[in-house]
Amino acid sequence: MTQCPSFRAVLLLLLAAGLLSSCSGSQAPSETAAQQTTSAAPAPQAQSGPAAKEELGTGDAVELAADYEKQCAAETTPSEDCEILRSLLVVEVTTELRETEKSRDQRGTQEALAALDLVDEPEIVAAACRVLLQFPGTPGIAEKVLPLMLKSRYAEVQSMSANLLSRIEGSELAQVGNIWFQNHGRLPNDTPYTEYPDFPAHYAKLGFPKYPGAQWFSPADSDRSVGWSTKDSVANVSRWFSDTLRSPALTGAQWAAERQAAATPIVDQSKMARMQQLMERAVKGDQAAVAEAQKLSEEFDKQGKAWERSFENSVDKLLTNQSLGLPDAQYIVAQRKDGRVSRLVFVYPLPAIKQTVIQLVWDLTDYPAAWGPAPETNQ
Amino acid sequence: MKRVALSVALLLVWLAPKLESTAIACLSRNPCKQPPCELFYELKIMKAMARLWSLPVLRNEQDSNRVTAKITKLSKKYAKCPANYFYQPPPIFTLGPGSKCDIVYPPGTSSLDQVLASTNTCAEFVHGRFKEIEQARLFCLSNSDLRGPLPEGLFRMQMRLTIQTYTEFLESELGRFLSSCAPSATTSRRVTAAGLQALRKASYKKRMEWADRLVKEVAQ
Repeated sequence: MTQCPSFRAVLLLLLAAGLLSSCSGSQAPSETAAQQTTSAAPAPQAQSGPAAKEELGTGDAVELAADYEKQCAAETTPSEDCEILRSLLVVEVTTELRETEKSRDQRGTQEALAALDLVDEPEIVAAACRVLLQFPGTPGIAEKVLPLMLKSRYAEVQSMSANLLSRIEGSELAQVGNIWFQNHGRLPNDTPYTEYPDFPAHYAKLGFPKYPGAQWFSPADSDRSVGWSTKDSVANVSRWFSDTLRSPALTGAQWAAERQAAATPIVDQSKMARMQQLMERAVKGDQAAVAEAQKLSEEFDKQGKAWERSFENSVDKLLTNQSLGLPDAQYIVAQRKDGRVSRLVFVYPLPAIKQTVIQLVWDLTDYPAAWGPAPETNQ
Repeated sequence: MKRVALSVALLLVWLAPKLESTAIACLSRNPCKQPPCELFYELKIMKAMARLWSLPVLRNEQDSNRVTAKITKLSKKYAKCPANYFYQPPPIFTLGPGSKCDIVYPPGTSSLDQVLASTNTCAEFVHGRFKEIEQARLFCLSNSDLRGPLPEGLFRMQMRLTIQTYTEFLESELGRFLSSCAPSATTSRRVTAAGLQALRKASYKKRMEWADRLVKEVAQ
């Protein structure tokens, strides 16, 4: 029994050591999360050691919202602390909208519609659009998302708005959303905060005439075009461009007839006949014919690829799908080069918004792309 | 007999911290088991950092350190986490000096496995942090011909990309939980409404001017 006191002491020491060991260096994950951001720098600074353990609080997002409103509502310019609180709150609201989306609870459309008013918070607007995409028949969507698609400074907001607009069944505005989508396949969109690109630097050098009073119209922008709109009629607009450029305004049928050749790879008929002869000889075991046929085949392949590259860069590529739904469109060729339409003015009506659209299009073989990685060129 | 039992108990107490010194998978195989709140907290604070790096608020390493300290301090209160003594911080990976951009492991370790074996934290954090530093290494290598500190635009892009790598990794890990378990919208709606109200009231003049213009255009 005399050993008991010392045994207890050892036990207590061991227990204390165990507890200390399990707690030492403990730190909230978030603390280092934030500290860690600097560690990703190419030339990292010395990192501070682990801070003493600080317990996380039990406050929630509602408390955060209340504190943010209390501290920041009166500010006219954002302080750093308020910008930080706002960031935390934006993440909370975005997360909750995502939860609402997953729940598929239609009542959530009420908050989602309200969230569309926060036009300068692209993460929130995009999350709200995702909720509404589940219920595109919700009244009031079109009125809210149309201006966002036309004017938002954020590419993600324009994209989500166009997506939502295009899904509204029975709405004439769906066509405007579809047009935006057809034109923006190559739009860079790295983060929700990526701003919609400005006019391309070389736009002025393209030399398109400026239609009086026309306003920038983002749905008709693309990697090879800039969009404008006006309240004037298609007839008046196309006549103005035709006179200014001294080039006839073509109807859809006339344009299709002209471009039919460009839309089909040119095949040398004499070479095709030669190929047929060679194949017949090759079947009979003529090795010389096999070699020549192989060479000819490679030549066809090379020509085909060159045609594909040329088509990828062309105005035809952009207009192929789009012009199908626009029977009243007019086409004015502004410039031709080496058999290509190098610059084109594409004019069409959009009755849903009572506007005439002017899409100024160029061939990427002749001019740089407005945005995004340019497709391969022939040069 | 009592002494043997006591010795075993002592041994267990002694071993316990050592056994815990290993990163554990915080996400259960059961997709509907609620992950630890720290996982969500970590994700949210990093997403807030990503937002700040997307705005012209932060520009350089000094801004980063200052705002990092502030966000850590400000956000703790709203973590909605009960006290927890198990977690250690995610490890700190860094890049070595020079153009080689080598990954420097936390002190006492020289591989990812060793870091996982020696850190009391969610294994998801360790893997995420490692992916983040790998992304930073790629960025470093692609800019290794630059001398001196990175220009502001590149520095901001680097921070965005690396943080995004980390948050996307955590989100993908959480994906099974998030997609499998349909939540109730009631709480989400309440929080969304409160958040929207606060954000609207504290929208700054410049922001509101733009919004007002849009509203007028719609009315026309």
